[in-house]
Amino acid sequence: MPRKAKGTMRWVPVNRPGEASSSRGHQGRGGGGGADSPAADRLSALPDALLHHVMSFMKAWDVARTCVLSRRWRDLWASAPCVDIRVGRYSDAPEDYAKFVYRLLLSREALAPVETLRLCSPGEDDHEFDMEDVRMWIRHAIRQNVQLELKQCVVGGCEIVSTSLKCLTMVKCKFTMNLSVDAPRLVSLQCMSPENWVPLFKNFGVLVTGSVMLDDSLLSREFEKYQEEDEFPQTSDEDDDNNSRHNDRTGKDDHSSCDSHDWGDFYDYYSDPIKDNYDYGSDINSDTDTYEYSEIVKGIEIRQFENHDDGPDCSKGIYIFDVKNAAPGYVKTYILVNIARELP
Amino acid sequence: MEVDKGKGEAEETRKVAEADRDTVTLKSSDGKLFEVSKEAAARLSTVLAGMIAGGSIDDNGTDLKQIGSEALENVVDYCNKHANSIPSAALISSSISFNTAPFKEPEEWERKFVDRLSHDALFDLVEAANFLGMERLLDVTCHKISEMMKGKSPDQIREVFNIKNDYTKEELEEIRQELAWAFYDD
Repeated sequence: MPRKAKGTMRWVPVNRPGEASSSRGHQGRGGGGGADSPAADRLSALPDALLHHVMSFMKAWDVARTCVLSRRWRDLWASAPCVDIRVGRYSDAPEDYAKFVYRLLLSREALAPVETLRLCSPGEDDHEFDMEDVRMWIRHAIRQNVQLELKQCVVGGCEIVSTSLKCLTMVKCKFTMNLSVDAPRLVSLQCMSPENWVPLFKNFGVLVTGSVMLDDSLLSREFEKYQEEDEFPQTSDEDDDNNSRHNDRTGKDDHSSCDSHDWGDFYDYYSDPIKDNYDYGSDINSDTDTYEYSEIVKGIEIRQFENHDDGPDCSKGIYIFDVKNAAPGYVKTYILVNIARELP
Repeated sequence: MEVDKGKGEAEETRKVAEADRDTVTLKSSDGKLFEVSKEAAARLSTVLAGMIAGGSIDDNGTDLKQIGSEALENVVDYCNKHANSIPSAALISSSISFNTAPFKEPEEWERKFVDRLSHDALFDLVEAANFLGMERLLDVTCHKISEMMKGKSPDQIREVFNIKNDYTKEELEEIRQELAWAFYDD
């Protein structure tokens, strides 16, 4: 049997009666269709990790029902690391959707972390669940996680408050309003190419690594005269010190070059905390701090996902939150992805 | 990088392999040789990348005893097609690496690639991709399997995959009651 699945998988060897390797290397039957009743149960013979991987492409209600297939499948669903409860246009989602999700989350194996949670925020005419439900689910799913990763998402919230969050990565996120990040345990921060707004960061007592990179997508529309693109090097994890100093400076540059614009409010918000709290040099020795895992196992709360009119391109009001973790049981990652743009 | 599209023909590939060190030669469990671009192999397979970096690639054919010739041919075919397809922007890694990037839908050619596989060939390929640490191929193949399960009743799924229902009637009833919330429309 193969030793190792892809990085994010737990490898759970299985000893099912037989078929796993029996058909390796043989010539397949015919070319075309595939599904015409093969002799062996190749699917059940796959290791748990691969079955979980297959499940990661299925909706949670389809996954849960696999428990009746056979004994092999009885508890697989309950430890599936990915929970996809997105309600699509043509989906056969449960009628009592909110109840279903609560029961699903509560019926899962207690020790199996939800590494990926995919969900949609409720639409305006959704009466089956509301933002309070969504918040509960996210809180439940991510209560053990310490890393938040937002990539190309519309962040419609005004606040990320967490006492456990250690790593925050935001890449090409569109902020529909001033997002404030209050995460006193944050050790690592990356904020690349934010759109519309730059989040406000506060309480950065122990930050070790930080980079904020603004680019044309933020600046070009409103700040044509801003001509310092060349000043923005390609940043990487390694040159933290350079980045931080650099970002400090660009923050001030921005401030001074745009006072007269409508975005003045934004920079009022932006400049002070950056100057005050981005100075983490004095805490540079904090990388020697160690945290008990139990200390950081709290939760992340993302408030107020509601759509707001002050951001462009948010009229669809669908946000996809894709909560994902990197290495099981250790560091976890949340990705919030907006697929509204990808829908036709 | 020039990619040799040769596959399957053992003699031919051996000759080419000797002439061109940009490729690696892989040997299936039943002794057939396949050649694949070294660059594509290293990029698409963490295991092959490790072997290439570690110098444990055998010019006369690196033994992959776990993988049959049909599956290996598909692996090589996938690597070649992948190398020839124009990578979409999202697949080109930026300065920030996202090892946890969300799954990207299979591209058209990837869909066709797995659609033409027989049932057994698909599972052989899943196992080969898993063995070789080919994350993308594993995604594409597992996605295909998930599509074969979607929207089907348990009975239909059992039929497609030949899953034997080894529950007793009582057990099944018990599960259905225990997880009644999952069977809301039954």
